[in-house]
Amino acid sequence: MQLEEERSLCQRYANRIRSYGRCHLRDGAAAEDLVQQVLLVLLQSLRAGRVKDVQNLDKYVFGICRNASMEMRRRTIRARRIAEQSAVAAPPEGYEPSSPLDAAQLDRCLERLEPRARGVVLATFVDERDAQEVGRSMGLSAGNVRVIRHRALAQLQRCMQRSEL
Amino acid sequence: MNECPSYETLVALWAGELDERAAEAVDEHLFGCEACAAETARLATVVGALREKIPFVISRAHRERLEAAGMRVQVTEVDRSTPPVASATARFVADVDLLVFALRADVSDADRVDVELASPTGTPRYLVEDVPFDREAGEVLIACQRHFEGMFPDGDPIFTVHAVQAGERRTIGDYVVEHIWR
Repeated sequence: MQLEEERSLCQRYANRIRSYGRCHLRDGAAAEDLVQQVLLVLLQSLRAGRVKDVQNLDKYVFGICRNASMEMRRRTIRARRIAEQSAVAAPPEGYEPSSPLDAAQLDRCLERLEPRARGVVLATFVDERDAQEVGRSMGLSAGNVRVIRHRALAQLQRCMQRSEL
Repeated sequence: MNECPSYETLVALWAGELDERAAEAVDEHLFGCEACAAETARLATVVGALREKIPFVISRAHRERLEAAGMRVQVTEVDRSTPPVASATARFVADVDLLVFALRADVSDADRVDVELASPTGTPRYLVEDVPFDREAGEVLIACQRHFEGMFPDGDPIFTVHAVQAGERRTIGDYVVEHIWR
């Protein structure tokens, strides 16, 4: 496999692995470790000819990602700096760390949310409460919390995108 | 999963509310679908940044970590007040990043502490269960951040501390801080 093809694969999968890591490991640094680890395993497998079905690479990468993530969780997320391998190896070609979001801008966008929606978003993603708990604490049904939550997140995303323009 | 998941489903995945099988089906789809991967990456950026934010109630160790990391924290000691009126004032001046209200409370026999944050009118009201607290120091730390401005439009919130012991919840007291936002 040519270097250019490898770079293109890394670019294709880096964001997907990062999103998976952020979602399931709930830690930005651990997600970056996951990206590097999965890409290294992928490239090593391709170079060694261990990938049987190259046409079905999405599924293969997902499998590596899920297994690596489970392994990381077993080692406890916050301890991070997972496999020594990824700590000592250079990041693969095409890997680029994610750029951090402007925290001050996020605060301004949060301030624009209606107070109840802001409370739901913060209780869900900062205090890590599920819809039942948030609903109980705010006198709302869980269903109502879910509706408020996804609308508020969509509004936040729009606000952040507008401010990037 | 062949169909693209709805935005609500993606948010539920991020909130950890899908069961294992459903989550795996959505995750697998996201690896193979260009449009969903892009949508999720945008969601990941916002939710990831939200998860870096500071919770409503923090431990003393958390406060010390924030200070060690260079955050400018101003701590205000707050005593109970009956009836609930402001017993302290805190100002969000330009060189302060975070206001911390150290609520003084006898929580020495508590198994768990819950904190209620409520508008003087009662709405909105948030109950945060099982918060960190310092049993020996008798302290519960509220972290007040700039983006909280306007969350309680009817006046400064009342913080009510509850101690839970052997499954019974009793109210320790109400605390009010006069917030000056600028």
